[in-house]
Amino acid sequence: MKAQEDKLTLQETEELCRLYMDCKLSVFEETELGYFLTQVDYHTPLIDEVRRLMAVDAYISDKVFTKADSPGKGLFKKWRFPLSAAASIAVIFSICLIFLQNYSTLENSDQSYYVAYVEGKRLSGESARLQVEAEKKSVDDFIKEMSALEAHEQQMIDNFFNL
Amino acid sequence: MKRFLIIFLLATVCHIANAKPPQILVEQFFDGRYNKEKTVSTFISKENGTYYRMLQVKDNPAIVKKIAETLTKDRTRATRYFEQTGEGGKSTIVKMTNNGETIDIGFQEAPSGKSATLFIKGQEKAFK
Repeated sequence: MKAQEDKLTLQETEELCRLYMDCKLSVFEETELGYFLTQVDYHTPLIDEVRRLMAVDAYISDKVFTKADSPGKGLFKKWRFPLSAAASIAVIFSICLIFLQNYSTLENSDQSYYVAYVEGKRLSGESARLQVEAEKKSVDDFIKEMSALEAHEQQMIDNFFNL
Repeated sequence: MKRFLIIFLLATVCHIANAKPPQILVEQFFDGRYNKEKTVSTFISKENGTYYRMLQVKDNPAIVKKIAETLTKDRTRATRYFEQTGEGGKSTIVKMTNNGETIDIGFQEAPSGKSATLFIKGQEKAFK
């Protein structure tokens, strides 16, 4: 390139620029010309126009290069939200699963049980079961009695309105 | 995606809120606080998917009053309740529905106001 720099005159440079404008140069030649134009101090409207165009090209290339150069960053940006959402959902489901497993274990751990405390003392085993069974019977009787009373009262109200 | 996440979170919150068990205030009296109390007898059982919790108070008007007041608060959330006052005292039955099952809460207070019986009965499913 140093040799070319020494050889090319203003006219030759202009000729190259003209070829560039006519899209007659290869990519490699365009790159060489671009480098050459940064090394010389030739100024004509055509050469300045080519410099300007090459600067634009360089800018576009830079942008493309920047994007392509950091695929990881772009990819991360693109997938950041879905990945975050998926991770959040996974965490929520894990917590729910752990909770449900613990809860079902707790529920199934003791299918039937009887606990009885009478006047500050805990009853155990069969005596607790018998005591609880007796109380359960009284509860069921109370519910039946109250249901019968409620039905009777309701009947009286209905009769009152139907008079 | 953001919308999906927001909808998913809202659905989860709604589901949790819907699945929340009914907060029965009188249940607090079965947390073991009266296990050592000589004026109180507590009975708890779970059998064939049915829960029973019973509390008998004898000669302790303070506890009876406390239970009666708490049950009054529970009554506001009842699907049905029936109260009968007679010579034998005051009897109340409060019904709550959850998960399609009924929870019966009963309270029987002696005329003196010193003794009472409280119970909660319902299918296991109703408490979930």
